Amino acid sequence: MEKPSLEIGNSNWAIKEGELLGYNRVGNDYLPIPITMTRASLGTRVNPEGLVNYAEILGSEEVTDGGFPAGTTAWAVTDGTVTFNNEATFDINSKIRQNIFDIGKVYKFTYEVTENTGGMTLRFYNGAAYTFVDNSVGIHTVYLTATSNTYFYISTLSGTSLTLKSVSVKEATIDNLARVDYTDGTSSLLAEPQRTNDFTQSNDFANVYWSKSSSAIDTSIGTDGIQSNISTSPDGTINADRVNFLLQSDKDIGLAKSIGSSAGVTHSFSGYLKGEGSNIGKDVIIRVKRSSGGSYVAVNKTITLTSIWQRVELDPLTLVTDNIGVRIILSSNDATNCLVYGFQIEEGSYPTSYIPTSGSTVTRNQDIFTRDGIGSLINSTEGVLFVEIAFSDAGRLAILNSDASDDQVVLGFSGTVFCRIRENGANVVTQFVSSANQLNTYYKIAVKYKSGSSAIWVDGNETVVAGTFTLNDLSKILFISEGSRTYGKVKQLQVYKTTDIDLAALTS
Amino acid sequence: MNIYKLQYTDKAQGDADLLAKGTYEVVTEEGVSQDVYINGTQAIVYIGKIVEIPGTYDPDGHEITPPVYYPGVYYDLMTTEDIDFGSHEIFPKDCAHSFLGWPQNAEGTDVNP
Repeated sequence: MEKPSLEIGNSNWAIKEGELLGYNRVGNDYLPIPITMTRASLGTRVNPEGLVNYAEILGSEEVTDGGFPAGTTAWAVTDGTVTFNNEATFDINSKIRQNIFDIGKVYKFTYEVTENTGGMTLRFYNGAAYTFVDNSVGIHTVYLTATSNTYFYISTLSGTSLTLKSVSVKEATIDNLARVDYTDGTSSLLAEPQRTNDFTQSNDFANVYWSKSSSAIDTSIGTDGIQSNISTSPDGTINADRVNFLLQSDKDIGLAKSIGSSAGVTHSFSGYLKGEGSNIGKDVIIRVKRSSGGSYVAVNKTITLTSIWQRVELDPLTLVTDNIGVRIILSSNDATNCLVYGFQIEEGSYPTSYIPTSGSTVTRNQDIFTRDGIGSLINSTEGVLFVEIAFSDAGRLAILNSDASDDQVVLGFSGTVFCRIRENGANVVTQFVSSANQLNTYYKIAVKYKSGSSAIWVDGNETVVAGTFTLNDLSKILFISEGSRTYGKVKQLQVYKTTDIDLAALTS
Repeated sequence: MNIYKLQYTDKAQGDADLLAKGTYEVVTEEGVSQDVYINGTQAIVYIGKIVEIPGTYDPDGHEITPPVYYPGVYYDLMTTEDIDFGSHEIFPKDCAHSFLGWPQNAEGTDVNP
């Protein structure tokens, strides 16, 4: 069978900053055709080991003696008093430094605070200014850009005493990185919209940010019923919390948080839960309801705890007239405790990948994929656009020309899978496939375009597309058409320069 | 990259100013209108009202005293462009919103390209 002129994915993925590898196979050779990728923020995905982690490329360790051994000479104390003894204990107004930065590069700082007396403030210096960083006991991560100085300072201000067990600094590439996700054990390219996690403490359930009803949470255990950092979480580190329940049939009280909102706004909740010991097989309940005002609306989900982490996703809740907020409650009338990790509430009709927060709401930007200047790989007279995709929302992707005449071959989802040919900015033909009507379901879709002999194939079934057209200068591919961007998971994409393809086999 | 922290009287004023500044355009296709980022815009985040003094609630979540909000509504804009927003641009600390991977208080010229 004719080989594609352009391929993406099909279990072959390579990424670097700003680029996703597309390729053209010639014999046994792979000729790279980079696809431009833009997302000016960090993002998370499930990696091949099944762990939730940031999509980032990290360099080697920059810090010497990051464990602060006694007698270290790698750290220079430039102010105050700092004691090194396999940890670094800072007095007030103390500073240490190492000369490690390359100007203009982004670095990932990971550090562990083991003691803080008197609320001592902690700052990192990035070469130009000090940044106040999380000074609470625990493991923290922050990304900073080195600006005009090569020295990395750790500094304390007010307070009594603060102890760091370790610090790690690595050069990091975090923006414009495509994310390959392995949630179902196979690889898919994530294409997600901009979303904001409206919880400001997504994984610190002992924080007063989360309310704990003494009628539903056993507040005699841990901190108000929460045992922090008690177990290994879905990200592979020990930062999962245990929630201790008092059996309670009222689903309105438990571990809870209210978020301000308004009528007409749709919210989607997601989070990770796991059972332990005798609580495995028992049920907990998550309720998302209007917090107050207007008519009562709510969605509930009962989750049976298992010995592995589950990502729980609730149906979306749309607020109605005079509702002024949304409230999320975790409770149980069956289990005495469960492990929790990574709660997320976002505006939108479906949940997206986890966005960690610690102190503010946080936005992950949208994923954008484009490639132009590939006229040699696309035949304007005839060809095939093939995609294996699970759409998460209505959207379109297209191969199209580079000038304003707006010729396009469009493949999309709008209630059902469909294809469209546009010629000189006008829709020539549009064909829906009514049987392919499920979001978040993988379909193998091939659009065969040839004037008078077009078709759309979905999972081995052909629908003939009538109509004649003349397309010119098809030379780029975009995950957007007519303002509607494609969001979902893409296993593979192929472009062929001929229609002489066994499309039944390709899409089966 | 620039991150602008913006304050407006209400959402209508904010949306209109961001549209006028060319940060997005409205695309209508088949009766459905969508906001599409243009001219270097990476993200527009409508934060809405920001709480100045948190409300108080009983253990069941019932409001005892309502929250007090800062005046107006707020947006975060991430863009490659330099834009003069005049008095709508503010420079807060302990920001209510941030972008994943960016410092919580990144804003304006403090953020390197």
